[in-house]
Amino acid sequence: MGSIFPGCGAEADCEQGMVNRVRLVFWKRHAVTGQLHQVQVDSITVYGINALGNPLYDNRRRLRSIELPLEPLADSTGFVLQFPGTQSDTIWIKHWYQFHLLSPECGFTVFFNITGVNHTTRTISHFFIIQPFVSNTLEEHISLVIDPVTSN
Amino acid sequence: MAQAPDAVAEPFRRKLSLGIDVSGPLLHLLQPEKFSQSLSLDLELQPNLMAAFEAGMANFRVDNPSTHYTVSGQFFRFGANYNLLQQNPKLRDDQIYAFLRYSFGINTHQAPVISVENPYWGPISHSFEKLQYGAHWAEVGLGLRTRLFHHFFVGWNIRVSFMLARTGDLQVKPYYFSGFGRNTGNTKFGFQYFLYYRLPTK
Repeated sequence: MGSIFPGCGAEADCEQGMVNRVRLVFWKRHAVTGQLHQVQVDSITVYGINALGNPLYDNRRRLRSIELPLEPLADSTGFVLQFPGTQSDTIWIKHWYQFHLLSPECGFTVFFNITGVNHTTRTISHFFIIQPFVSNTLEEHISLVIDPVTSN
Repeated sequence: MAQAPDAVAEPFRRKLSLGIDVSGPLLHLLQPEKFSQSLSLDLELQPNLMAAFEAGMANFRVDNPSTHYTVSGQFFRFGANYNLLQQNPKLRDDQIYAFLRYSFGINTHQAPVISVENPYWGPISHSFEKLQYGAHWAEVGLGLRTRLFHHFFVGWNIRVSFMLARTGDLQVKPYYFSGFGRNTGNTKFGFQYFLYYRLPTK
């Protein structure tokens, strides 16, 4: 059967869909009400474990979220998050991967499904997985609740 | 008073039509990575109502330095056509018909070469052997059929396909379902262009 719209689709832009990143959004619990609200961190440096020396974020300031590339063909990806004035936290994101052919022109990319998160608790107090499926659409995948070193 | 006898109605004769889809080979000229071909068979069970069956095959291929990927599949459709034009000799068996189909397809895909660039973790290479997957879907549509000459007809149809269920491997998302199309979303619009040969039957 022929498709009426064979050329339609957002896949024309190959670059957009080739590296699929997990978005982590920073939240903080209000000291009085206990309600969670989004915050921006004063500064942050992020490395991928096994790729140390190549920072994803190098002392970037006033960020409400970070987008991190998961490691293809691995079942988990680790990152070191350095917040100012504190010891760093390590976060491990467990996932499985799925190959997707974006289009004949763009070739394959890798999508992920997050199955769990482990982390140290120096700055990060806990997390919520909001959207486990990581594809080429950027949305909040994980909420990270952090304690100090933030501004509203 | 004696009544005039009713006109003798022409007895109903079941008609069997064989069709070949020519839109698949034509679309192959525009989209060389795809090829599909199908045959149809419909039998008029009672005036204006036809049982319909279609069977076809489809291939999809990507062949470039970073990606070698092939899909091969067969699909089948069962259903009925209902002629919206009342039988009328003046119409010479032309039809405008609505139809319903239940369809399913069985496919395999494989990729001897997959290369994916990743600026942070570095390029990766992967491959997978032949994997089977399938799908079930329903279709509704409208078609038109008109006589070319003698027992030969030509016709086209437009259809909307609704995915009911699909299977596939977790590590590789199927790109293409034979008979349904690209594996995005649960609804597809499509068309076919057919040539038919009608066999008169008793």
